Parts: sequence; structure tokens; C-alpha cells
Amino acid sequence: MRYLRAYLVGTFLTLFLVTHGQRIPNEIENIDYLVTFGGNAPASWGDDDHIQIFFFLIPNEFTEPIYLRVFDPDVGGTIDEIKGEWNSAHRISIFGGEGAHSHPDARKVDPVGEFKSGNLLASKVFRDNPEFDGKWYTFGPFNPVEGEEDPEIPNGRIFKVIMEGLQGDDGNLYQYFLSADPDVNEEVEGSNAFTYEYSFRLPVASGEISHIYPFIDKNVVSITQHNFDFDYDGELVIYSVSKNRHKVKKSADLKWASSMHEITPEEQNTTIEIQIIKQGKPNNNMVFFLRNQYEEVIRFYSIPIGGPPRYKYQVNLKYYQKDED
Amino acid sequence: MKNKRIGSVLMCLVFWSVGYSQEVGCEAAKSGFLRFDGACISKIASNNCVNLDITDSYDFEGKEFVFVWDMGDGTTLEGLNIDHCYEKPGPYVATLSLEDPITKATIKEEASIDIIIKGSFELIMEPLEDVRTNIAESASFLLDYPDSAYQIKYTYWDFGDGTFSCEETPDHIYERTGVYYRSLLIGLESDIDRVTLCANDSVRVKLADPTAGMLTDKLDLLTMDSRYIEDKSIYFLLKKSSAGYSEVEGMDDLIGGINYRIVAFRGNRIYDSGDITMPSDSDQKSIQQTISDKTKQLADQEPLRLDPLFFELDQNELSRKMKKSLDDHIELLENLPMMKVELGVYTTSGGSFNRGVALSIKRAELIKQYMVDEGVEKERIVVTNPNTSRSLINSCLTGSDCDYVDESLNRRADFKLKMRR
Repeated sequence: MRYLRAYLVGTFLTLFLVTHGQRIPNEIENIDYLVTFGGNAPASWGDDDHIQIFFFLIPNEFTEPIYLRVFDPDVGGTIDEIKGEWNSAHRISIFGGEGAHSHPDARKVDPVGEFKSGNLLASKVFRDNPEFDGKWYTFGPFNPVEGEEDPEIPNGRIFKVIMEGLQGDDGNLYQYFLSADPDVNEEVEGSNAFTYEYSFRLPVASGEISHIYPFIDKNVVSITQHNFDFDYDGELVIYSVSKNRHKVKKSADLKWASSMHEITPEEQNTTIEIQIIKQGKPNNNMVFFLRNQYEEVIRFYSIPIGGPPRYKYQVNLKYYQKDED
Repeated sequence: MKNKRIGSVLMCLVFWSVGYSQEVGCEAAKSGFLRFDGACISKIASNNCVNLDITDSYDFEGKEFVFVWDMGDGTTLEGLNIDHCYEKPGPYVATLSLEDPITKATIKEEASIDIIIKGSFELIMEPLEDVRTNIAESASFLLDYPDSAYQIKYTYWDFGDGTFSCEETPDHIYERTGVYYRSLLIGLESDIDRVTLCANDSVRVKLADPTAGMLTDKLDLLTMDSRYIEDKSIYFLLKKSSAGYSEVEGMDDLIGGINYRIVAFRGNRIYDSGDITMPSDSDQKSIQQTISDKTKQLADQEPLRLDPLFFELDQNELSRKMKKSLDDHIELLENLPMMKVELGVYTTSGGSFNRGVALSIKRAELIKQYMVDEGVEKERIVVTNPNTSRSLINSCLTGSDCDYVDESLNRRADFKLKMRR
């Protein structure tokens, strides 16, 4: 059953993802930056574990060298979030090979055990380094075959990127781009990225809507959403082919909130959307993950598989004459 | 919307019509007509209003979004269940967006729906009056339709005599007398819609007057009392058989050896030739000539007339003078067995309306009974309802103060001549 699910996901990837850029966070998510706080930062600042793990999926058809480019990898300057003085160090590590994704610890929400599984391909520590501030830093080249072949996600190779807040308490705000070129962002055709736990910086303006896109496979009958440190900053809703913005339970400062939601047959094998409707609190960071009824963590894809969902409104249209009672 | 009189059709439509009436177009219209098995709809009211209901999609578990519909004509409306009336026909797209009143987030193009406002349509066949055999009549219609969006794609006339036309205003000649049921089918199309309209009527075709209306023209020129002005002059050529008089239906009915009779009447006036005996060896041409000559003789005379009777105030019996006048009417009717008479009895405008009506009924009964007693068949006297036909012949209105002369004219009994069927 697991392989069938994986096959379906792979098929969708091939069919729908070839034309999208591969910036993480993706433009269609309306999220500007991922965020990871230094290891000494309190969780109340919006990062529960100071680690963000992303997986990149490179289709088998792509055989050219690939590069992982990171925008603003340092912790300082104008983009990152300072807490007192710049005192943080963050490490970016890239893993491939066996276990990079397939190891059970790699797919957990909490970074415990062997979550750094696989072969370490590259690693670098960033501090308050002005030479990297507001600029792209390139890891690689990597041969796509260095990624892991995981039968759960066939037709491609998987690389894992871990951003660790080693020390300090500042927030590192950054972006990734999986590139076919070391110097400019050139899309790796057909690639995608996913994570099991999403930590990101919310837009500032009230009324801005961010979107994150978990894929619901055909065996899912219910999901439980967990969000951390949303600070009641607006609304969190589920939007899908059959859910017209189901309200979900939202978290207070430094709190987790969770709520269970049934999945309809129409939603199975589709991407659903978590809409985060912002009310205007500045510098708000939050964490989000989902589990299915088996307590398995559900992947958020950077590019929604099958495209963003569209709720099917039932619009009843009736014509009549003006003088009709 | 445009109320279009097709009789004065635009040149472009003429060109189109000419082109369309050729070959494939008309044949297609004809086959469409023959296949047409829907109800004959001549009027389609404009369903220019819509109700949009998305209540079934309200699924927010307590979250109160504001639903905003852009109706596509510059109107925006809020709500789960909204109503809107469009000013103009055409296609519209209504688009739904959401607004979160708390965060002020706006989510555009949540849903959209195509709306087609057809506008109203009405097809009226212009009636043909006094249709005569062998005289071309122009068939025409009034069509009310949203001409900004729709175009006439075909027009199909069925004249009821086995002939058809795809022209918009065809000239048509009926060759025989009778009642014909005409049908008109019109197809309209817009970029997104098709509408078929249908109308029917009946046409009574009478024999053409061989003198081209000599008698009816004379009757038309007569100075008539106002109550007869609306009455049309009607010409009949009748043939006599053992069953009585019947209308000559066509020129091939004209044969020798039988009696013919010319009757032309209007209101209470009538020209009557009496029986005209045609020799058995008469051919069609000589019969026509005889009829024409006789018509000319009649036209030199004054028509016979059924004069009205005038009552005194509250008079509810027939005076000797009235009976004398009625005797003349009875004699005239005895000579016109093909005619009947419509009797209308009226009173003054003053006094109680109901009392006036009752008096009218009483006087009508007196007149009718007298005529029946003197030999007129009962069914040849039709009494109009004084409740609904209390016609006055001057400006006196109920309750008004009218002079004696005017009121004397209103206290009367009228006689109108009609052809028996």
C-alpha cells in the first residue's frame, strides 16, 4: 500500500510540477522566509526546536549537476531577526544517500534520534557574516545520483537539508533554491521540495493570506493539525475541494494548538490547503505540521501536487421576472 | 429592446432575406418548421432577474466571511443568497469573492457563474382584414426582441393553403374563399443562444369584388351616425341553392343556370341586388360582366336602411309609429334571408344606471317579440348586452346634465345588419 501511494505521488509530481520555480518557500505560498532560531532562543519566539528539515526531490530524468542555493544564510543584517545582539550560529547540512529520507527518524516532526541520517554531502556554519547578508550562497555541485532512492517516493532522488540553530537566540530568515546553475537560480525541471514540519515567517500586513499545501493520500480519513505560536494572529482555515475554509484551532503565544478534521473521499489523493489569514502582528513566526489517523506525519509540498485546490461551490441559480412575487 | 415594424424593414435585412430565402436557407427553415413540435410560443417574458444562492456552500464552522458578488454589470452585492435584476439583456459572469471583516483579507474569484439574460420577445402577426381572392396581401409581423444581442436568422410563413415563404414580408394571394390558418415561425440567434417564436392566426378570405369595391367605396363615403362609423363595409357575392344562399368561393364557382345575389352592407345600410338569374349557357366571363353591370346599377341608388327607433322618457311600450317603422324593417329582413340583425337598445345617461339597463332590456324584449310575432325568425335577432354596450352617441355621461335633444338621441334602438353564417 505504501508503494502505491508513493507511485501516485510520483505521478503527480511528474505531471504537474514541471513549470514551477523552486524557491523555498514558494511564491504561491505567499511566505517570504523560512525561519530557524538560534539554539538558545526561547520557543516563544516561534520556533519550537531550532531545526528545520527540508527534502528536495530531483526527478530521475534530470542528470545534470545540481546546487542548493541559500539566500541570506547568515544571521545578521537587515533580514534576520535580532534579539539583543547578533550572537547566533546556524549550520546548514546537506545529506544524500541511503537513509537520508527513508530513515524513520528523518521523517519525524521532532529532530530526535538519527534525523541526520544518510551521507553528509556538505555543511557550513553561518554567523553574523556580512558577506553573506542578503546574498545567495551556493552548495554543490551535487550529482543527482547522490540523493537517496526511496521507494516511497519513486521516480526521483531525495536530498535532505537541515538548518540548525546551534547557538545564540537570533532568528535566521532564509530561502532555498534548488538550482541547475551555481551562480543564478535556474530551475531544476520537475523538482519539488517537501517538509514534515514547517517553520516560517508570516507576512506582516493584515489581510495577507499565506498558503501551505499538504498532500492527502487515498488512505487518509482524518488529519490532526498542530500549530505552534500563531499568537491568534488572524485565522487558520482548511480549504480544499470539499472544505470551504474549515476553521481550525489556532495557537496562542508559546502554545501548541491542535484539532482533528475528517477527510472526505473527494479530498483523498488531492492537495489541501492551509490558509493563514494574517491580522497584522509583526515578526510573527509559526510552526505547522499535520498527522493522519495513523499518527503518520503528512508532507507539505512546496509546489502543491495537482495544483492548489479549488472548492466546488454549489451555486444555485434561478431566473425570474422582475415583477414576480 | 426595439419594437421593430418589419413592414418597413431595413435594406440590410431585405438583402439578407433575399439571400436567405434562396435554396438551402429556406429549405432548412421549412424543414425546421415541419419538424417544429414545440408549443407555439409568441411571447417570452424577460427573466431579467436572478437569485444566486450559495447557502449550501456555507461551510465555515463559525467563521463569518462576507460574501461579495460582482454581478458583471457593475453591481456588487453581499450575502449568501442574493437577488439582482439586470437592466440589459446579454451574457454576464457573476464572480464571488470573500472578505474577512477581521483581517480585511479579500479572496477574489472564489466562484463564478455564467448568467444569460435573454430579454423579452414578442411576436405578433399583423392581422389581414377584408382579404379577397386573387388580390395580393402583404404578410407582416411585429417583433419585439433585444436586437442588440439577437439577429433574425430565418422567417417562415405557412399561409394555410399549402403554400410557404421564407421572406419576411411576403406578398401572398389566396385563390379561393375560406378560412385559412396562417403560421409564422421566426428563429433568432445570439452568440450564445437561440430563440424560436411562433404565432398563428386565421384569415377569412372572401371573394374579390369584380367591381373592385364600387359598393363598399360608396358605403364608406356615406355620412353615418357615429355609432356606425367603426363598422366596415362588406361585400358578398352569393349563389342560391335549395339550401339557401351561400358565398361564392372562387371564380370557378361562377356557372350558368343558377341565381346570384350581390349584397354589400355597412351598419344599418345595405345594397341588395335581389336574385340575378344567369342563363344556363352563361360562361364565367359573361357572369362576371352581368354582376359588374348590376353592381354599377346598385351603386347609382341609395342603400336600404334600418332606421333607429327613438323612445320617450321612461317609455316601455311600442308606439304605433314605432310599429310602423318596425314593419318596414321586418319587410326588409324578409327579403334578405341571408341577413340577421343586431339590436342594441339604450337609454339616457341620466338617472340610475341599473334602472337604465333594466329599461333597455325591457324595450329590447318588446322590439324582438314584436318582430318575432310578425314572422322574423327568433335567431335572426341578436340583442346586445346593455350592461356592456350602453353606447351613447354624444358626450353625455352617466350623471351628467345633458340637454333634451342629446338625451333623445340616446333613448333609442339601433339595428345593425350582419351576415348569417
